[in-house]
Amino acid sequence: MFKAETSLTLVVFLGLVTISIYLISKGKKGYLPYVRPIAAVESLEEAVGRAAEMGRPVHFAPGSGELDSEYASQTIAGLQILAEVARLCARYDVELIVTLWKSVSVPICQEVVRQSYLEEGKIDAYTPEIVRFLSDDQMAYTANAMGLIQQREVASNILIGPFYMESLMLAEAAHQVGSIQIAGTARMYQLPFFVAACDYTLLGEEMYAAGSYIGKDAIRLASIQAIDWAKIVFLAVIILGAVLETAGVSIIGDFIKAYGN
Amino acid sequence: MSTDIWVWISSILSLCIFSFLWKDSLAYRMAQNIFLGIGAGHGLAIAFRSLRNSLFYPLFYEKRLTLIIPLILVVLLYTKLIPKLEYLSRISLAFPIGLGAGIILRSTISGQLFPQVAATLLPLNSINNIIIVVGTFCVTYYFLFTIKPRRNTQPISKIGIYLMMVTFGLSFATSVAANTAIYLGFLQNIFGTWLGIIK
Repeated sequence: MFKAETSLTLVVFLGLVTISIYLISKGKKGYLPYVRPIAAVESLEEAVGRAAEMGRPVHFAPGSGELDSEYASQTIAGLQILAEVARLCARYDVELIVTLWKSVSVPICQEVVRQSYLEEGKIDAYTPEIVRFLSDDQMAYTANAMGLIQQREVASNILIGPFYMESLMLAEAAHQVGSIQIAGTARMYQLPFFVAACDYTLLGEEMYAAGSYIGKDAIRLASIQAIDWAKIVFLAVIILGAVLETAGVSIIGDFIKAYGN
Repeated sequence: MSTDIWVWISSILSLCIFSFLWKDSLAYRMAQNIFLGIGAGHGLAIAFRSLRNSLFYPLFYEKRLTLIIPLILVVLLYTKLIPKLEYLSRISLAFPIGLGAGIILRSTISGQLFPQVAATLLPLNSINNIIIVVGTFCVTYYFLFTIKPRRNTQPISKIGIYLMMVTFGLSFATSVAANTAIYLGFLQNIFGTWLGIIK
């Protein structure tokens, strides 16, 4: 049943869908929007190349790997980057180690890695053991991933996805063995640890943009542009709302509170 | 000194884990493998209990037939072990992803976007309010990816990134302070409860 208090949510949702469809249809016709370079993405090849030179593995962790919660979008962004990392590892014959602590994402990670090896014509080098489910327990996973990073002396440590308190522990373990580190998460509490401990960090939404930026896929780039358009609209609303509030008129705030539930 | 065997076990294992700060030692590996074994065993027990309480019991004893759907999805997941039927496992994987995306769509707009916008609609009559409005504007501007950077707009992004770094610094310091309390608790456990040196 339609509820008036949710009407603004519906309007914004439909607006976003309309913008996305319009920009995706433009993308299908060959239009590629400009996307600013992201340093962490540019450094992926450097990280894998370093591992190839040193003859040591690359470690990748897509965070908790949650797919059925509010963090699913972060996991999916991490998987897009995993596809690129696996592609590079296959190309340069570098050993890849993917560790996880949510069993549900194991088959998805395996599929992503397998597809990348297939695209590089190195399917013989692919084994399901590249993706290692260590434990369903967060701290047991962390202890083991730290040990693995140290014992295998990974050359590059890539941590992209939704991370919890294991973030700094994994980054510190890799720092001790001199790994180059690329990390990214949209979890506000963990970002400071990554910024402090890693060489390159994808800050929040950069992680989502990175997945689209890598493939230069018109549809994904269109979705990034659609989100940008929405942000510009909301920035305008914020400025207009703040000016009106200063003048003593709180019409926008009241409207959002009344219809944005 | 404690006479409780569990205090001894927890204290020794804690020290084994802390040995990682020195290097990846035999003690650390021992604790790591114990942790992994216990984690695997505990996880398996929880998974069986969850299947029994949430699926098998309601389906076979309470005759809630709608639960056949998740049962089929569980079975399909295992088709990954049969190469010819492997594609069927994707149905099981698509289900939680689709469900997650659907739930996120609404909650992101009404639970995150609107409250953030509403909280930023402040009268520009105090330093705090100006910092919040200008800060939100600059940080959001930094996250516009499809706009080409221009010389006159670059300072906006710069302010945005500086504000984020200040926030990260504060957040880092808060976490360190909170973890110091946990570390003091650990020291209390070792030197007080276990060894009885401090009270």
